Amino acid sequence: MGLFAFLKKRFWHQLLFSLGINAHLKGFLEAHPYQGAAKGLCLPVLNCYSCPGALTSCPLGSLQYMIYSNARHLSLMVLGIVGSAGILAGRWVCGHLCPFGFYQDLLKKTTKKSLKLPRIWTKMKYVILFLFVVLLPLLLSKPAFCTLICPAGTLQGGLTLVWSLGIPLGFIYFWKLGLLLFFSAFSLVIPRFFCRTACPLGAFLGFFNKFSLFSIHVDMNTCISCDACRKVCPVDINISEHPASAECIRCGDCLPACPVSCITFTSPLSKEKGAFNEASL
Amino acid sequence: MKKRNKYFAMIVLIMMLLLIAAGLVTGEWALIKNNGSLICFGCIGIG
Repeated sequence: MGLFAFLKKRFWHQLLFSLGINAHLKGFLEAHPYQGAAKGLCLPVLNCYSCPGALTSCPLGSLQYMIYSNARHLSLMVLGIVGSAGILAGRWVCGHLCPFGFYQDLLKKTTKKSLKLPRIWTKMKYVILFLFVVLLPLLLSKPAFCTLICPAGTLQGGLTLVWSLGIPLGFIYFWKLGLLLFFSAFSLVIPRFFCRTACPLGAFLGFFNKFSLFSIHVDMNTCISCDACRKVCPVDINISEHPASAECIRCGDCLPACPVSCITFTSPLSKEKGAFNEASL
Repeated sequence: MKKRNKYFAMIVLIMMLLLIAAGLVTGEWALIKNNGSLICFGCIGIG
């Protein structure tokens, strides 16, 4: 445990990252987004670029823009950045860095009640990825996901900007506000409700969970199948059966919960499987 | 991680890095920056 030991805690990863990429405080006072060079960068997290504090662009918004603008192709840079993050660590960014994931985690901390999500709901995010992020922007020449669904845009841009712009609010605004309330209300009782059901970025990153360099290993010789890992898992997966599940957000909550310490993080640099334990997080 | 998977992941990572490089060369940085610098009225619900 060194000087930076506190940084290994997930809460601090999330807090510092969320504040860090929304640190353009002047934007809140002027009610205008940041316009510097960093806006050309898309970090692989759901963070609305219309948030007055946002220093970087949203990968989903940029992906849609490249499809419906004159470029009319999938953004190579966005695919490369999100794909690199995916191949390095799968959905680790969802569990440790995503500001909207952090928002849902904070909501969940306020209640003890927890409901199960029917497995079929988790398939919806793949439909949203194809339909709202690729197909509809191509057909309608509009950022369909941003306009019709994205609750991060409503939270970060809608609630902070719209009052200072003085533009009359229409149906879309209240539709999106309703969706934000819907996802927020369900996140109180179902951990990571939006990530599991509707996040296209999570759906895309999930493809990489199976072969990412940084992954989870379960020593089946030691596992006693007690289900303790599933009880603490925010996305309700049995990590001992599916360590590479596309739903796993690599939060690491299962590591300290395992009574026989058979769940570990591995990296290609580990000489032995399971070089990291919960203390490394 | 199996050696074969590790090599596969490394190859995919290199391909992803090449995609980023291709995006930079074709001027995507400027396009994304310009788009992100404006208020996205769709995102905030008035588009």
